[in-house]
Amino acid sequence: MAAAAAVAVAVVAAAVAVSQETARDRVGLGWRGELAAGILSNLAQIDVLEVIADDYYRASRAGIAALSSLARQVPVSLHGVGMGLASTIPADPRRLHAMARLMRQVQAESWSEHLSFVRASGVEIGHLAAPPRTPLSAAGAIANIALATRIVGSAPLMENIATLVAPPASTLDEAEWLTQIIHGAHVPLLLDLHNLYANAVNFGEAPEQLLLRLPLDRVGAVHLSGGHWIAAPGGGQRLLDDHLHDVPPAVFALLTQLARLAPQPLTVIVERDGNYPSFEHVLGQLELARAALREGRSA
Amino acid sequence: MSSPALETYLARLYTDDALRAAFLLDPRAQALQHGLSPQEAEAMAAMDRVGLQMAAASYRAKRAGRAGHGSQPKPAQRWWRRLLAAWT
Repeated sequence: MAAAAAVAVAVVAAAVAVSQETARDRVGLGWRGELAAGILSNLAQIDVLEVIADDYYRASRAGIAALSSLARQVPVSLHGVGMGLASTIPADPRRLHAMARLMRQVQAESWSEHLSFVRASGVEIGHLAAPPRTPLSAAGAIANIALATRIVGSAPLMENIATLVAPPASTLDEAEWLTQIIHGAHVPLLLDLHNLYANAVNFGEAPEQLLLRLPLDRVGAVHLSGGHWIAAPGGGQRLLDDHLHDVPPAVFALLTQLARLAPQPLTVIVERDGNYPSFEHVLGQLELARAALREGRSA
Repeated sequence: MSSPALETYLARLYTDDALRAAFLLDPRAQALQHGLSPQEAEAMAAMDRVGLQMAAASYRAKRAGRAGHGSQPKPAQRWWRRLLAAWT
């Protein structure tokens, strides 16, 4: 009897080990044309690439063919920036159909968008903006995500954004609002740890505490990036998430904390949008991410 | 709170310097004048004004950067597309 139990335990342990090995963490990079030479020369060190989808909605046949070729070499995720799904205003179906078309053409493994609004009544803000965090905007986001899921044919990962302004007229805090949407829309969270960090330090919250208040079991992917402090009118400063600087140690520490608390496999993407260092340095950032994950997993 | 009218007013505040200057002088009256409810106008009067100015400056820089780059592929984009096309 004891021997049978021991065998059963061993079988389960082996199955868990296989499962963990199969569904492992991945570390990759945001695809940028400026990084192409380094990426293509070092694909063995890059588990996954994230491509800005909006750059390809109106791409030439050659451009789509190149992206499809890339997706055959390495897993690709398409990242949207212009849908503005976190809004009480219905999303423009044309952008959703463009994403659907691109997903079909490229055969990407997943797609994602931001929990932001980017336009209203024809006024283009030009970047990701935080709507008032209320039950109404959460409901609008859930409805828009449902529409996007129907049109694209798969559910997006939804990303938290950084904001320099505390969204006015809010009745929910960031963690409450994000949780309401992620649970209501039944989608995974693309957790941008630098966005979380910037919002926390800009608005007086401890980043580690903010992380703990998020639905960590729903995190499917992670973004890492950097930023810099900018002067505020009238004194003081706020942290701008600019993707032009290295990932700060505090954000790697948040990744370790996340890896300790979230047992599911994580796909971690390092984002760099300019002020490009050598590609060896970029690969070093990926290695730091792997080290942060290992530290969390072994704790 | 949170309505299409409020989002539209916020989008305009982020992108229209004159509208934002007027708002900063008299937030409640300006919000009411632009069709927000008394409750929304009250919330707007309590807005993070420093953050509003910083966010507007950040969005302006983003729009300017995008306009500067245009929609033409950069040289780096053209060469890797040729390279990848050769792989297929």
